[in-house]
This record gives sequence, C-alpha cells and structure tokens, in this order.
Amino acid sequence: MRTFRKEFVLLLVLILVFVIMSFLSKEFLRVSNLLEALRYAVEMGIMAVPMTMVIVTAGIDLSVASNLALSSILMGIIWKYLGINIWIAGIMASILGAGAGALNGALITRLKIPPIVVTLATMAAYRGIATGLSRGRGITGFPESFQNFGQGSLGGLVPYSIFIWIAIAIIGHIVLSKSKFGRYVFAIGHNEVGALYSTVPVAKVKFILYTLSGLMAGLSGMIYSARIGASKSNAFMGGELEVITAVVLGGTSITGGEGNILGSTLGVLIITFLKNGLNLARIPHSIQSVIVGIVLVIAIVSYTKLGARAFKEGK
Amino acid sequence: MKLGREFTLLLVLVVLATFVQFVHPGFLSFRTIHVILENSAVMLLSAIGTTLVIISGQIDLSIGSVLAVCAITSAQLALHNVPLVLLFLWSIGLGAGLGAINGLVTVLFKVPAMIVTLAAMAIWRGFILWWTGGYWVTDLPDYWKALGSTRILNFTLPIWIAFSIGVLMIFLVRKIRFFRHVYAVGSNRKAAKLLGISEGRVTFLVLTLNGALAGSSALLSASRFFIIPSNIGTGLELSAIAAVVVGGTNIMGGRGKIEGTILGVLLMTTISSSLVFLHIESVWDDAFKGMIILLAIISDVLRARRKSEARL
Amino acid sequence: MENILELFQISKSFPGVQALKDVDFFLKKGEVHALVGENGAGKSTLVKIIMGVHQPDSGKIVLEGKEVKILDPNHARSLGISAIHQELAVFPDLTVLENLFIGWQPGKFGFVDWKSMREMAETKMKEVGINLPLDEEVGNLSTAQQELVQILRALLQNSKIIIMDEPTASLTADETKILFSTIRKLKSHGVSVIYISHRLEEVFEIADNVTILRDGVKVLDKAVKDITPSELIENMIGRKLETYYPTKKTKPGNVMLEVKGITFNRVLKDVSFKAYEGEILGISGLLGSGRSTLAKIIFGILRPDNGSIYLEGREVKITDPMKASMLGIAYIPEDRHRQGLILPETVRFNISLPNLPVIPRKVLVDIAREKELSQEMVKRLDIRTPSVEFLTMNLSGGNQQRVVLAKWILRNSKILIMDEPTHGIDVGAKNAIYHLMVNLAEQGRTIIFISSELPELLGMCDRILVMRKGEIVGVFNREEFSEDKILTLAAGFTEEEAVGGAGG
Repeated sequence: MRTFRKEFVLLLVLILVFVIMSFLSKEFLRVSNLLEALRYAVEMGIMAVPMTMVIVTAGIDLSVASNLALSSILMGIIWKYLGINIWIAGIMASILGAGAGALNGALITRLKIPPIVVTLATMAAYRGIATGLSRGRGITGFPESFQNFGQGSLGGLVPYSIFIWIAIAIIGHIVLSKSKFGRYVFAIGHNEVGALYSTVPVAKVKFILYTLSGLMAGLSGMIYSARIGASKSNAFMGGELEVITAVVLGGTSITGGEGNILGSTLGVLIITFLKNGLNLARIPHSIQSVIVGIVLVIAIVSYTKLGARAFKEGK
Repeated sequence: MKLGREFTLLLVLVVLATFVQFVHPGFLSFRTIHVILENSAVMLLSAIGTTLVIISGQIDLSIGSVLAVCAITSAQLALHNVPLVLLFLWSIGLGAGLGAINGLVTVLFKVPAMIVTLAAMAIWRGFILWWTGGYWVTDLPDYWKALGSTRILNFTLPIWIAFSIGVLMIFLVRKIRFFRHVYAVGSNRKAAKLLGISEGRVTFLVLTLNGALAGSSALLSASRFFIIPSNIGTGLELSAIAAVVVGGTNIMGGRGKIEGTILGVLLMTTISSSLVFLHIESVWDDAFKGMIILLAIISDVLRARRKSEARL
Repeated sequence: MENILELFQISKSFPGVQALKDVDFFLKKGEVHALVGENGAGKSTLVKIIMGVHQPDSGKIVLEGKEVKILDPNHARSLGISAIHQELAVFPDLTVLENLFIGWQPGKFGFVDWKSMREMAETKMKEVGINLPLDEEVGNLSTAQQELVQILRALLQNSKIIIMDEPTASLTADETKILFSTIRKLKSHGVSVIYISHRLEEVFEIADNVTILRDGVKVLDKAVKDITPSELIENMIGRKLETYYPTKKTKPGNVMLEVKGITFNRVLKDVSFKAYEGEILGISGLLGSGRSTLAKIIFGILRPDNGSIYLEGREVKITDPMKASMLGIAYIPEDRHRQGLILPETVRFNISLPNLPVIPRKVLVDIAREKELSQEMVKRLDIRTPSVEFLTMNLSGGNQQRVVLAKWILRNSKILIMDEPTHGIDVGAKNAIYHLMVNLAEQGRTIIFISSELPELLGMCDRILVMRKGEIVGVFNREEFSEDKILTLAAGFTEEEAVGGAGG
C-alpha cells in the first residue's frame, strides 16, 4: 500500500509538470512534440530499468553512460573497419557492453569491492577507452535504414525506438515485482546476509544485474547512435547521474530494499518533459539543471518524511 | 605494514618518474616537476576535504560545482578590483556556506549525503552556467594572477600554500579532537553514538569544511590564468575520489591518511604528465586513470582478504 | 564487606509484559556476582536499569549508601558504572590507545593530549596487570583482547562496578581463562563485577554469589559455594528437570547424517559425528569451540578445508545454502535479526523466500498459493500475527522465531540445525518451541540442537556432543547425562581431558 501512494504522488507531479509546461509554451501539448520528446528519453528509460534493480540491491552502477559511449564507438568501429552489417555490429557491441557490465559484476561479487568504487573506476576507464579508440573523433555515415530506425517514427508520429523501451520496461516490471528473481533482488537489498541464509544465490543475482545493466547500456548505445547518426566518445556525458536521479526520483531508495520500474519510468518521464517544456520556453540548459536538482531534493525529502510517518503509524 | 601503502605509492612514483626520464630525458626537468606540483597543488585541498568526508563514511559529489561557483564569482569580484584578501575570504566563506547547506539537508532530513550532493552538483553547476551565460570571465586585473605567478624560491605561491596546508593537516588530524571523532564515526557509527559522539554534528561540520576547502582550491586553481572558463571544475569530485582511493583511504570509512592522499594526488598528476611525455595521446588519459584506480582497489582488497574470513 | 549497590523492590513493565516485579539485588564491594535465569527471566532488564538505559517503575537504588536515580548511560558512567557490551563498542580502525579514550580524551581547546593518554594507559595497565599493544589497531585484536580494551576503558574511567553480559560468548577457552584472571585482579582492586551468563560452569568458576531470576522475580540469592548445579538449574526453571521438558515418544532410527574429518581454517579440527533419524542431538561448548562454524559448513555457508559429509549413506557436496536446502538441510541461525529474517518484509515474504524454488509456479510467483501456504504455517505453528501481510519486524521475539521455523517446516527439511533457538525469547514461547522440536523429531526428522543453556540440553536431547577448541571432546547418551561431567568437559579448566566418553 505504501508503494502505491508514491506512484500516485509521482503521477500528480507529472500532471503538474504538464500543466506548468503547457502554460510556458503553446507548443508543449502538441502530440508531435510530446512523442518526439520521448524519443530523447529512450536511452535513459532503458538504462533506468536495470539501474532500478541494481539500486534496490543497495548497489549502484556509475559506469552506464561510459559503457553506452564505449559500445557506441565499438559498434562504429566494427561496422566501419570490419565491414560488418550495422545491425549485427550493434548487437555485437551490446554484447560487449554486457561483458563490460559483467566485469563490474565480477569485481563486485568475487573481490567484494563496493559497487560505487568499482563502477567509478570503470566509468573513467570505459569512457577513456572510448575516447582513445575514437581519437576524439566521431564515426558517421551509417546506412539509412539504421538512421531511420533511430530518427523515424511509426505512422510519422510514434518513434520506433519507444517500442523497445516500452517492451523492456514491461518485462523489467514483471520480473522485479512478480518473479522469483525479483524477490531475491528485494531480499538482498533489505538484508544481504539474511537473504544468503534463506538460500538466495546472492552473488549470482548481483552478477546478473550488473551484466544486464551493461547490456542495456550497450543497447542504448546502439539506439543513441542511430538517433544522432554518429558514434561519439562523449556520448551521454553525465548521463549516469541523470539515470540515477530519475530512479531515485521515482521512489527507489538508495539504501536498498525498495523501488519499482513504474516509479523509475515516471521519474524518467518527469525529467524528460520538464526539460522539454523548459526547452520550448527557451529557458537555458543551465537553469534546467538547477530545476532538476531542486526537484530531486524535494522528492527525497518528501519520501523521507513520508517514510518516517508511515513507520510511526506502524505500517 | 603500517608504512606499507605510502611506501608503495612512493615507490611507484619513483619508478614511474625514472622510467619516463629514461625514455625521455628532460622529464625530470624543473619545469615539468613544477607543472606536476602545480597541478597537484590545485587539487590537493579538495582531495584533503574529500578524504575527511570519505573517512566519516559519506561521499560529496558537489565539490566541482562548488569550486566553479567560488572561482567565477571571485573572478567577477576581481573585475571590480576587490582586494585579494577579501576575495579569499569570499571564496572560502561561500564554499563553506554551500557545504553547510549540503550538511544541513543531509543531517536534518537523514538523506545519504551522496544523493544530496548529487542534487547540489546539478543545482550549482546549472546556476553558474546561467549566471555566466556560458561566457568565460576575461580581462582579469594583474593582481589576480599575482597569486598564481608569485614565486618563492622559484616555486609558485599556490604550491607553497597547498602543500603547507597539507602538511599542517597531517598533524592537525592527529591532534584535534574533532578529527578523531570523524574517524570514530566512520569506523563504528553505533559505538560512536553509545559513547556520546554526535554523528549529525560531525557530518555537518565535515561537509562544511569540504566546501571551504573547495573554495580555497578555487582561488588557487583560477589564479593561474587570466581567463576563467565557465565549466571550470567539472569532474573534480571524481578526480578527488580517485586520488583519495589510490592514496589508501577506505571508501567504507574509518581509515585513511592525509599523507596517502598527498601521494595519491602526486601520483595521479605525475601519470598525466607522463602520458604527455610518452606521447600517449591525451585521449587515453581517463582510461589510464580508471585502470590505476582499479589496480589500487584490487590490491587493497587482496591485502585485506588475508586478514579476515567469513564475517557472515 | 558492605554493599556498594543495593536495589530494593525494583519493578518494571513494558507494554504487554511485566519484566521485573519487586526484585531486590545486592552487590558487595570487590565481589563477582552472577545473575542467572532463563531467557526472558529479566536479567537484561535489571542490568539495563542499573546502566541507566531504563527507569524502574518503582523501587529504589542505593549506590554507596546514597539513594540515586540513574538517568542515562553517561550518568551511570560518571557514577562509576560501566558495561562491557557484547556488541563490541570498539572502533576497529583506531588504535587501542585511541579506543580507550574516545569520547573523553584529555586535552585543552579541542586538542588531544596523546602524551597524557599514553601515560595514563600505561600506568593503569601496570596497575591492573593487563597488557595490551597500545598502537595496534583494535580490529586486529582477538575478540578477547577487544573485550579487555573495554574493561580497561571502564577502569580508566574509574568504574567501581562493571557489568559483563555474556562476555565469553565469542571467546575461546584460553581467552576465557585470561578474562577470568583479569576479573580476579579487578576483585583485588575492589572493583565489583555483575556477571551475566548462561554458562553455568562459569558461574561456579568465577562468581562469589549468584542471584537467580525467574519470570521477573528473584527466587534465590546465595553464595556459590553453598549451591549445587542441580539446585541452581531447578531454581532457574522452577521445577525438576524431568517435568519441564516434553518427552519424546519415539526413539532414534537410522543414520541420517554423517560428518567425517571436517577441518576448517583454525576453527575446526577433524570433527566427526553421526546424527540419526528422529534424534535430538545436542551440541554444547563455548562458541569459540566452533559449533556455529560447523553448522555453517553443513548448511553450505562455508566450505571446509577437508572432510566429507554423507546424507543417508551417500556422500554429498554442499556448495551453498540453496544446495543444502535442496538436500533437506535447514539452519535456524543464532542471530535471528540479521541472519534469520528479512525484517522489513512480511511474514508471507519471509516464509516463502527459501521455498520459492518449490512453490509450484510457472515463471512468476503464485501469490495465491504462497498466501495459502504461509497461512497454513501460521496456523500450524501458532504464530501470533494479525495476518501474513504483517511485517516481521513488528512481531515479538518468540513469534519471529516461529516464522524462521516455518520457513523450514514448509520446506519439509529432514535435518534442522537450530543454533540457540530459545535465545532472547520469553519463557512461554520457549516451551512452545520445545514442544515443536519434539514433534518434529517424532516425525522422523533430525534435530541438531546447539545451545549454551545446559538445562535445555539435558532436558531435551537424546545425546549431547561436547565441543571444545574445534574438536569434539565428549559424547554422552541420555543415560549418562550428568551436569558435573558436562560442565567439566566444556569448561576444561581443571581437567585436561574428557571424563569418560569418546575423544574428538
């Protein structure tokens, strides 16, 4: 029942954002605008799904944006210099992204290094390798079908990439909230030791989560390049913090044990439409950052207050 | 074993420098060494603040943005010929204030500092970007660069200031009760509470101090140039955490040494300079840094492994 | 010798339970006074009142002839009362010297006077004869030494009364010897010790006087030399041993579990034993003797360096708890809150967690079935909870333990290892758990019962293994049960080797 309340609040916030933004600009409520705005949210939205689960286990993955960039560059290199079909190159790069995530997972589960430290290091390393491999220059000239996928829309309205996001979010939601695996994730987040004594395969679950996070980052890299029409090593700079902000905004607790995909998705939507509306109102990017930051603070403070009160009422 | 980590760092530093000198004689010239020291000086104070925050068991992601706000506003004041001393007070005070806000929100609302400072990072960065309109601060008066270019015994002032404070901190951290409480809180929160140490007070003060140190770093850094870019300080928090972790401070809190941080900072800046000398393109900088951090952590873990078994 | 501390007619109640009723307690100067009683008898509450954590509802406290109200732990400390916490109140990353003075470091203007600290510490150490490496990180010390740090800290603060609550719980036999000689030195310096322990053998070893509490009331207060073990036990439980514990109607059958030559780190040395169907096998001994480690190995949390395990004659490799549970092994852990349950989750969540692989479902969890099964368990184990959606953190200790048991009963585990199952549970609930254990054994399951409470082992088990220093030093069948023999073996203070019974 408590979680239901949080999503409700988020929905209200989203509606509030819509209302305010529509006042700021006539263009906002145009269907074409809203759908296009979603196109820009796809990568964040996809990565928010495994990130939610990772944070529920009281972990964190700071390397997702760097992983995205690296996968994007690798895809570009595989396509351009190895002459492999772009779609296959994309899939290969996604798998490499999963590998990068698996490296995180291995260091975290086998060497028992705190996730924040491992992913901080890989964040720097992966981004660095991407920069090095690409020599700071981008790779362009992708085939039209590929770019069409990233920039085109179904019926001229609904961006193709959104469907991937929706599918992943739905699967993620079902897994986290209704499957055995999801139960394990929550148990680990609440009490890792207790979970182990209740036969939860803790190391395996965590390893899978970080690998999935890498896989989604790789996939997002592919979508990003299709959208932009280029592979760049500075892709999605600062993106990891955006994803984490969206997830925390969506009600997932950074200390673990609580969270859901629906909330995270609403968090992504709130941030996306907030920025979109502010863009249309010609409010500079800098102020947008400020506003997103303030929204985050208000959200966490409210959650803590809400949580504290619920605790006192003995829920 | 006590001297272990610092000794290893020193060793690596010496070996690296020797190696690069061998490949490219001229590396160990005064000029290069000075550049390394200067780059280190600029980062050092922030790294020390970060060390204390991590020892207390928290993480502060906002120092880059705080530095930007302090540096740019100070520079703008300098355009109006505000005297240097006041600029210092302003920068440090502002930094402390921003740090205090982080501290208040963290303590009053019981939110992990990582999230609060994550938000603060976005807010202050966005603010300063808006404030400057993206423009860089230029045409600074001569006295501004005086801080950065005055030399004593051929070393610039920032180097003296930063390293003196660094050395002073090594002693203060041992002798001042507050700092001992920082270690206690990071080592065992519950025990600290049992013995009457207020975790909230420690957290608040440590975050405020971190802000003040970022403010001082701001002036040391910015005073080297006549123009201040509007995105100054980006990535500082992560470089600082990297240097701190490499220096041997435990991310879980409770242990860490200023000496280690100083060496960590020196090592990271030496690596950057080495890469230049070895003609490795700067595009590989971050990759190397990331791998160094990984190596440092892995070796830490393997060493600690020998000590304990199942704390299950 | 006059009394340094007197408690008159102390009563204290909490919502739903009368923890203490009109209890008197007298402590002399330089005395070691043991406080014993079953779990839930009120020992903890009494001691917390002395420490200032709780305020009594009625009664008065007289310290050194003056009546006092002890407001809080800091006040207690200033009055000269300290406690050694089992949850070690030490800072592992800081040095011994620093640990001694945290929170009250001498020095002016916020500066720390290390020199004075060192002098004070060295003087005191010489005075009391405790030797600790001042510059070593406390985390590197053994548990025993960490406790000595706490004792030294108390002495430096001029404590006249030191409360020790289960101080030997994590100590090896040798470390316990050191602790006891330290306690004797404290005595000679006029410091009084209130000693709480389940280990009756220790009471006879170290205490001068003993106060027995039962159901919140003081039943006896006598000099240790004037009381026998049986008298002690009977006063603790209120009746003769034979009538308090349920009797099992069946006898053990075939060999269910065999453990051969298990060695682990430096904790276990070549441990071998058998356990039978329908048997309640007790394991007694100090915690440092390796009992919990052995349990963790059988359950797959730890992997042995050497040795093998056989289930019903077949060798098995137990790689992790999941495998162990598949093989029918269950472990009810000692630390109920950290290891036994996921407290912030519901009863249903907890009961189903280890059962998820077997609750019939397609891909997703069948919630209806899960609810059904957990409700069944709640009924069967008589768990007092408004519903299965209730959070386990809000249940009482006894009910929490029942949830822990429910997990494994649902799993139909054949071998249940229960590690201190009645720890921290009130007397009524304990009895229910005993009946449950007997029930399970009568169904043919094997119960391995690890406990520090000798009375319950004597009352419940078919056989008892005694462990010491990582080895099995004695095995007793029910007919051979004798408190004295077991006490002697477990403690190993005066006798070196077992009195009868097989060697390890």
